Amino acid sequence: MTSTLSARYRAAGGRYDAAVDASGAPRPGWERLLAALDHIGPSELDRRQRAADRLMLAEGAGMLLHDGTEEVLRPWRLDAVPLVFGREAWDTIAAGLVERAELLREVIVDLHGPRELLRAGIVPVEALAGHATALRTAWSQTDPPRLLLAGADLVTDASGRVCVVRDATDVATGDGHALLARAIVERVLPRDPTRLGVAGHRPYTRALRSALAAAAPEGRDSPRTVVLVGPPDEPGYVEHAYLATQLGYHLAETADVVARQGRAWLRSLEGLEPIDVLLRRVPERALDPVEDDQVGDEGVAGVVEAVRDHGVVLANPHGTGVASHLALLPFLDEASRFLTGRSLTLPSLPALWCGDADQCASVLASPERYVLHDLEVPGRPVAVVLQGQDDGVLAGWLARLRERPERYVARPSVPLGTAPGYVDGSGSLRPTPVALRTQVLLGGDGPVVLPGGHGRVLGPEAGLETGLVDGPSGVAKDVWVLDPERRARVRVAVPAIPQVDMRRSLPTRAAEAMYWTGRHAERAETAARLVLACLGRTAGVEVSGVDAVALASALRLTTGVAPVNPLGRESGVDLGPESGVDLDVEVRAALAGRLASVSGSLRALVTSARGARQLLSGGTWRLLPMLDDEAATLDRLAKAPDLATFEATEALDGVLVPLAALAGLTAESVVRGPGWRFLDLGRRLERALLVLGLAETMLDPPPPSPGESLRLEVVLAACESLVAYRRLYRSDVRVDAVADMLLDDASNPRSVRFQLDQLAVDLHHMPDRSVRRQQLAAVRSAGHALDAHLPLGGEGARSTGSPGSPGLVTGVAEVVLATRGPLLDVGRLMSGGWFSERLRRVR
Amino acid sequence: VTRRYQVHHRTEYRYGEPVAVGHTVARLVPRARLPHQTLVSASVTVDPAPTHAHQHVDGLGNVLTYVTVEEPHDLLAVTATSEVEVAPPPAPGELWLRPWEEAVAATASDRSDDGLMARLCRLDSPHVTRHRDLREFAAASFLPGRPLGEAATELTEHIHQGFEFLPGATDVSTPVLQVLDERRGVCQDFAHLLLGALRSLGLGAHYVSGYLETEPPPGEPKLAGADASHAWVGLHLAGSGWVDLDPTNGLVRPDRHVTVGWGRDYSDVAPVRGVVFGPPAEQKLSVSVDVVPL
Repeated sequence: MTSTLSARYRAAGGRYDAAVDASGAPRPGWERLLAALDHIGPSELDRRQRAADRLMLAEGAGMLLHDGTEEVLRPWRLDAVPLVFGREAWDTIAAGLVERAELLREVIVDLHGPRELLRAGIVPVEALAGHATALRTAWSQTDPPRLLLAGADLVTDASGRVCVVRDATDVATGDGHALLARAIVERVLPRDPTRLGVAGHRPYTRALRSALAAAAPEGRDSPRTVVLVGPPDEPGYVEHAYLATQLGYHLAETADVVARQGRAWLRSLEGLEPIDVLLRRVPERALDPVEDDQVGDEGVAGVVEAVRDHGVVLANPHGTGVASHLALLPFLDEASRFLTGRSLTLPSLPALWCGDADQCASVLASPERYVLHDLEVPGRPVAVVLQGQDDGVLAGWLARLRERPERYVARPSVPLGTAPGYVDGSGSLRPTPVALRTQVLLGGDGPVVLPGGHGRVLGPEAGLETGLVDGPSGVAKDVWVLDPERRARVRVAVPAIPQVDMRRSLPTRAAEAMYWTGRHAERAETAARLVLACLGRTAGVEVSGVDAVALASALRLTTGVAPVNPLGRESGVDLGPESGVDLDVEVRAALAGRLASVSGSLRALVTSARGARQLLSGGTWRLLPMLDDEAATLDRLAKAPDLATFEATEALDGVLVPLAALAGLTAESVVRGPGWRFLDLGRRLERALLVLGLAETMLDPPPPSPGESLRLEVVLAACESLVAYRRLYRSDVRVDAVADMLLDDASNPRSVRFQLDQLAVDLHHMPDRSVRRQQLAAVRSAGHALDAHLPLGGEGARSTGSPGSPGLVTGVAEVVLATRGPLLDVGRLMSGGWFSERLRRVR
Repeated sequence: VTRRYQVHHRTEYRYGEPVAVGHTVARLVPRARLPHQTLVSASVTVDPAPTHAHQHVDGLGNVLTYVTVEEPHDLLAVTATSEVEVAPPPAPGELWLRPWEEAVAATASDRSDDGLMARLCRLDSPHVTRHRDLREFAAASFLPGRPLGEAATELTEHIHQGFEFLPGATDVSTPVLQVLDERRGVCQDFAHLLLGALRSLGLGAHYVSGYLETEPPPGEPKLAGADASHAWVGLHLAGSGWVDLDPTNGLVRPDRHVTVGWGRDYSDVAPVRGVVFGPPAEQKLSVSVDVVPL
């Protein structure tokens, strides 16, 4: 191959590049990867980058990056080009990370008890002012928190030295990202990781599982661990969800967990199920609203007390966060000498705590050299680059710094090291600054380091000039630690055994999410089909007043608003063009704008499906971004001055394909446990109600003569029954036959009768609770209502469908009325009976 | 003269509708060992009966009682009863008579347990933020070189005389600067104000929660804040501990105050706080405090 990908790659001036030296020659460990990239070539690499983006988007549906205070949301991406470490270089880093993690563990113990670091003056107590929890909380007097997982952010300075930017001891995230990035890179660079011999992540996940099992309170047989996370809209949710899947643990949102009787419990459909270990991915300040120093009232009330009671174990425990307080960083090396007699081998990037008069004076003397970190909210420091600020702004910062110096940490700007990146799609490799999030597990069987960790390409804010590394980053990197021995090994995928059997144990919130996923999916599908049928059959056709009213009413009812009911509708008098109905307006509103419009239902579907992430198959995640995109398209079309029928038709077709795929995936790829039953219940209930609504608006009053089949064809198309009808009846569309097919035909999967049968089957498979008996009774009485009113009265009703008979029916309104009531009860009982445990706080 | 008091402190929450579960943290047990205070006995009872009750000592040395009620209840009553001996406070350390700037310097370099806490109590806390207006307010009494005791006494009396004790005019979240501006509030506000003033000068001062005798001895006026929890300030003197200042009553080194807890400000020592689960209805809080000499 003669590609020049690597030949054209040059380090940026004045910076250390991980891959090549100043002359452009590859550094040890990079030769094989650069050769492999050359072999792939730019256009193929481009294709693979796009594949990585697609896979990441699919996996990360809903994972958005909160861009600082501006709340800009953008999806994470993954650079197809990994970051590489040679074995020896990595072993040195890993040893330094272990040493550091063990030090931090001791620092945490000391600050919660003996406080020798403070008494000896190694760490000034004022540096911890913003993080005084450790010094004040109740359990400081009993057993101090033990650090289990220590994260660190690493960068390379201009000399190529690897330095720690900050530690992450509260919630040491990043391991889920690392696993996810590897899974994607293994697909876009197939065989490459193993051919080069890349250290795998499995020893880490295995050690994590056994460390968590060992951490369980005494006397618990087969302890249950869950991954505790915040709500799905939090950044990091997808990473944690991915980690939970890989570990075989339940993902539990804080709303799924309650503390009772000194223990923690998972709220499930069967009641409360005990939890022994919580792998904590919720910051300690949002963990338990009963405790001091909590921000807001989120979290699991009482869980910290359950920990003090030894009823449940948190990993990491609350209280470990103090070790990652940025103001501690300048004192860490001295703390190491004090506690262990050694200096840290892995240095920290220089940092000055301004509470120290000398250090503050250095910063005030030449502020343009520094990045200032405001630690008012310790978990979320605000960083500002002082260089290049205009005079007024700079003076403001310096005044605040003089006023409350102990609140600030300053760092000299340093040129950060780079590594080759491809993500910008420019056709060549570019040197990009990279930070690395590493993980050390301090389990009982000795420390385990995740090989490599999670790479982050630093955004332009981090700049090549500023050394600002805490800024938002939107691009991940897989990190390879070359392990030549590994090449010889055969990879055997050993799936982790799920610790929780989702067929029997279903969190209440997940059940609710499944139910609404089913309902919104059905609503979106029927509404899309109805609008499509309206567009297709009314274009260029003069629609009579009564038909227009019927269509408008059907559109409204299907999208969740009251039907049109102008004077004369009951009498069946043709209102002509005076009906006052503007179908164009109705179609637009049904497309977008209303809460239950096609677009609104799609968005609601995506939101619900995210909450049911664990129960839906992986393929589902690829559909959600598509549905989101289609919703945006519909919004745009509905807002355009002229409704473009062709584009709208195309867009609706585009909606129906992923919806059909979703229906197929849920039918074929989801275990038939209670979770699936809730989804199916939602779908069946929604479909029954929508078909009743369509029958009510479109069949009553019946079309005056058999030839006028516009309404009947639309209703059949909306219910996906037109082809079936033609096969069955081989005739003009007749209202009696249509009514029979949509309401009573137990073999038509779109009929109300069919839905009732399925609802009964679903309910029989649900846990035995009184609400289930009430719902079964309601479904039965809906069935009785159908029995009592069908066949419909009127000439030719229930006839064989032979041509010639007029096929008028009466009584549609009555059967709809009698059937709908009990079905609405089923829905009400759903929210009130199965999901009512949702708790609210009042104090 | 050592006095003995019985303290009875009852807190009631009425929720309007039954709540299912409630977690409550109460800081109601007086400090057991102070130079001038001995705890004879203490009990905290909760109605309905909690499924979980545990006492902890927090990092500041305060006793907190953690209770969980797990049955439907529309009334929660927390009753604390204790018997306490209060002696006149010991004479303040030497720094009391020295220029106040010396106390600032002494606290800044104090690495004793008390000193570490006092150094945190020179900085900002959730309810008390240092400010130049507060520094100016304090500077009228804290003239350069003036003895600490003289200046602190004057500032304490200045708040007592210049500010109106007016229950209902403020609440827990009223900022100190507003209290300074409007010149009215309750004991909590005056304690926060004095803390803010002292901290703005660089002195270490903590918030003290506790009680006053309900009925004064014959012939003496009833003190403000006697029918509920009271709050005042402890000023740090490196090497000798804390000197109590009650700005609400203009008292320096009061000898009839029962100390329950201390912290950086109210947020560290709130008598009763917690979380309940249940329908969102209006909750009503009522508190009664009786301090009877034995």
